[in-house]
Amino acid sequence: MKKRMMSILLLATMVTGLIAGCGSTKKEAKNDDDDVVTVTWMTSRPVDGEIDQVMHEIADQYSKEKGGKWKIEFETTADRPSYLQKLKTLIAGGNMPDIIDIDADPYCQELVDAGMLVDVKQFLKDNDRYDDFYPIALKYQEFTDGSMYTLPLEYHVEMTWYNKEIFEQYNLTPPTTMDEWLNVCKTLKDNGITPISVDGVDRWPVQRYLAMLPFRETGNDFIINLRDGKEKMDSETGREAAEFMKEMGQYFNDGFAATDYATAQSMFLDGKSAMYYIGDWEIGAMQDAYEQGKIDYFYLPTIEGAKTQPNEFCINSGIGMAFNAETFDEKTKDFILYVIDNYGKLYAGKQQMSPIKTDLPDDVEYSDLYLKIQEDMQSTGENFLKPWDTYLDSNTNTVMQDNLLLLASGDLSVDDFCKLVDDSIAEYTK
Amino acid sequence: MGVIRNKKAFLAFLLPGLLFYILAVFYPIEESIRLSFMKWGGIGKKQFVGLENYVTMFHDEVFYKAFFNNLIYLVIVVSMQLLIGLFFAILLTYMTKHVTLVKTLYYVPCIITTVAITQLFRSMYSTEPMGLLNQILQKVGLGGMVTSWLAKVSTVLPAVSIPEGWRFTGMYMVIFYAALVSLDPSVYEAAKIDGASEMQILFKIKMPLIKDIILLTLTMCLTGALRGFDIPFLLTSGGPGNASELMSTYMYKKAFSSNQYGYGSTLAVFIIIESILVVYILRKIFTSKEQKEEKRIEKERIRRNRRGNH
Amino acid sequence: MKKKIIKIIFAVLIILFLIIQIYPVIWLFVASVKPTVELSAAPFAFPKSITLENFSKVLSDGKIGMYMWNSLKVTVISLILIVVLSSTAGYALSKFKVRGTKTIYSFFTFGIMVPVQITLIPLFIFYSKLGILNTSFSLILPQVGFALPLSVMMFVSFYEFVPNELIEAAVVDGCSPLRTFIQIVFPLARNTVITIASMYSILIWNDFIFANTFISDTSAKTVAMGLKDYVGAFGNVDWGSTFAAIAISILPPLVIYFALNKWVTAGMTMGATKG
Repeated sequence: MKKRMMSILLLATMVTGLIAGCGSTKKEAKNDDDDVVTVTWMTSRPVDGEIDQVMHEIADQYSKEKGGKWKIEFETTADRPSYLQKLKTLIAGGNMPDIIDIDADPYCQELVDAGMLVDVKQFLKDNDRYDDFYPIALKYQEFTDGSMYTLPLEYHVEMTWYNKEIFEQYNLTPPTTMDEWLNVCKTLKDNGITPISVDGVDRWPVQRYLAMLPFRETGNDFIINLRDGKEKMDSETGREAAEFMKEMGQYFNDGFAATDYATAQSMFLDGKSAMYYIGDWEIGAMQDAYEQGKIDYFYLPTIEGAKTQPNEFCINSGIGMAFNAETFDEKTKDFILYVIDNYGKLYAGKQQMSPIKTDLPDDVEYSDLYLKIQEDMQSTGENFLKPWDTYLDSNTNTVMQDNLLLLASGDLSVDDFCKLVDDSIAEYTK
Repeated sequence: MGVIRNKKAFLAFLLPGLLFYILAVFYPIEESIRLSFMKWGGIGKKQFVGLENYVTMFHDEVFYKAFFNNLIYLVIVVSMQLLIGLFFAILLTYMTKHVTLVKTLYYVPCIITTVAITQLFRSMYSTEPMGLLNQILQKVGLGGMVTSWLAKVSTVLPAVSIPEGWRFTGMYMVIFYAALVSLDPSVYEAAKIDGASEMQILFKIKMPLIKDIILLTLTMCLTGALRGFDIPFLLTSGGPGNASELMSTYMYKKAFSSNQYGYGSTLAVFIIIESILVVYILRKIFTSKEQKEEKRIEKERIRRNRRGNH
Repeated sequence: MKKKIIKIIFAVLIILFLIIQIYPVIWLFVASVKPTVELSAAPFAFPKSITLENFSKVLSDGKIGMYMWNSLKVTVISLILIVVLSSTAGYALSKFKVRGTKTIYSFFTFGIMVPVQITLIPLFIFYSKLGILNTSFSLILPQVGFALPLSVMMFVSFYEFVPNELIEAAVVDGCSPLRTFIQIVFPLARNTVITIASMYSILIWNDFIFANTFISDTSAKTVAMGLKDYVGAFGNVDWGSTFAAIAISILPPLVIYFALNKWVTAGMTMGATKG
């Protein structure tokens, strides 16, 4: 018996020896490549998507200019949940990469509080680049206190697309108020048509519907106060939002909770649903049908006595780029400035909406749809609906998103939903 | 108990495996236990909170929900894999032609990646566009049963359990079939001559003889089902609400989506304790069955010898 | 007559089950030649038009080949380690007269039920201290560690069938424990080896959760992770390409399985019945 204990003890010491012994090897390895600077960007953008392509182009160009002494490594995980898990584990393990992608959410705030991220607002102002961006694109990246630690690489508006043929068939016009919208849905449903196809698998599209009424009533105040524990889901505004969600839910396609993005979108494009909520990043998919005059879009309907204007709706500038405060040296700074100076034109050249002001390149032909939406984006108001998932702490967000599906499908009462959300927030703000 | 007494050789044979095992399995368990007494969001210092996480767990409604869901999941998966597997293994023993081909094809689902399986089942269960399952229901006149299986609270749990059960049924069938055909025919031929029916032979003679295999596969099955994670996680990630939440998906979500590493670890510790219990019970069954089995085989041999002497 | 009816029922059942079992594979290959929009609009209809675009898209950057090579590396090395470590440990636990073997055996079998997810955070921190994230080893360690309990158990129960007298005789003849193992015991365990190898090769090849946590470098990604390369902005998945990638990635296991099929099922049979 004693022998056995001894051998296990021996093993244990071996294991700890291994851990301690190898802990130091990494640092030595880092010192070795002094002459070539390698920066790691852990990113969550679609592989070979436009951002990916442009950033690779810029990085190659920059590396060439530096005579190969500078290198950037892309570690891409396009799938957002996988990416976030990996990022969180990396940070928990004390290994934050040089550049990361992150939303300005409470988790990001925690990183900021721990002094791990670079103040991007300051950086842009110091280097005279702040006005290069569209104000809303930057404002989206801000925390509620106005500070900003993430740099936008995209710029999007979200709208509801509708099938013109179906609308004409039932004498419907694009709604301008929420009540009209509900009526449109009701008419469609009464005629046996699926009013809206929704991607419930990814959760966020459903969450947008919950945010709509509070945005019209209060701007982003409601969600900010809710997060801070000063407001309750179980308040007049909150309950109205939940009621609206529940009412809208009946007009979603059957089984939307298990419908994925691709299915929801092709249902709409296939004429199997009359409306579909998505942003301008899907211009490519919408183009053909739009040109054939089959589909069009409308922005968020409004309500009587709304605090926000009809030209104010959900705008986002996507997940931002953030920099590790510890490794943000002159060389990285220089690269980032290089990116800012070159990104806009290249990105817009790929038929994308750039967050950096730029003239559209002459050699690229833009579709009417692109130009129309671009024009819309120039004339938006100064408020915009910021998605709720960037405000809420991750636990509350999980709870809300999970139960939202139940609420929308009519399996959960408004009371219970509000209680679940409020409990979770109380837990976080405790 | 073995026969070689060389202790050095013993350690040389044992240690490499043991080391890997301790490093990969035990070190993480130890860490989980430690973390389960802490509050930690992944950034900054860990804060010791004593039993707080455990208290939270026993007041957490979702925890109970996940626990009972897991039991149902376990029952569905294990019974599919064992019963259907066994049933078709038996059918196959009565087949004379193309057995190898059929056996090979039955095994195929095991090879497919989870991502493909989940997407296939998601399409099958859906109503818009009409999934295969619902199409079949309509065709056979059960149109009233058509529903979006993954979106409904009442159907989602079985709906996520079935793919897991389905994918390994073929593997267990192959194992059972193998066990059944390897039985010595003389044992039941004799019974046949004595006038026993096929059913009697099956249940009174063949089944008891492959009891060991059944127990072994039961262990494998339970293991697989308790660890079952990727299909439910990819299909519904526990939703809608928490209707298809399992212990492992809940633990994963708490740790990695909600950043509650401490609480996540507490759930992990609970899963481990639960597992120890299952292993313990199974081992109890195993050893007692084994001993009984030995006695039975002994008797069998004596009986057979007597027959041979006739 | 009655016998004939029963036979027909049997045949129908077997064929029905066969369809259920192989339908997905057929669907998978059909899906991979469908355009993405058609795929999500009418997933079960026969393709209106066949496109090889998905395949050319997947094959064009050559990444899938690299992913498969990574998966192969991890799978082969893990399998070798699993077989070597569990056969030796099983040998130590069943053929040596040393005190404590029972306790160590229980210690091993305890691991059977430990859920793999608990390892993610601790191992991640451990790896990053060692600086071995994004290496094959980071995947091999947990794969082997979690395969050991069951495979040790299977070896131990197989060795019970190897008579002690055989080993005693070898020892008396002056055979060292190592030679006894290599020349006498291990060759007998062929079927157990095949059973374990065929079971774990599939599990390891398809593993997602470890790879997803420990690998982020593109050049170290495995196949299961590579399938996530076709996820677009805001969760839009290019299913056509994904299925093309899946079709390519399951070809090697499928071919190997059909080629070695006789061995695998036979090995499973023996491995299962005798061990």
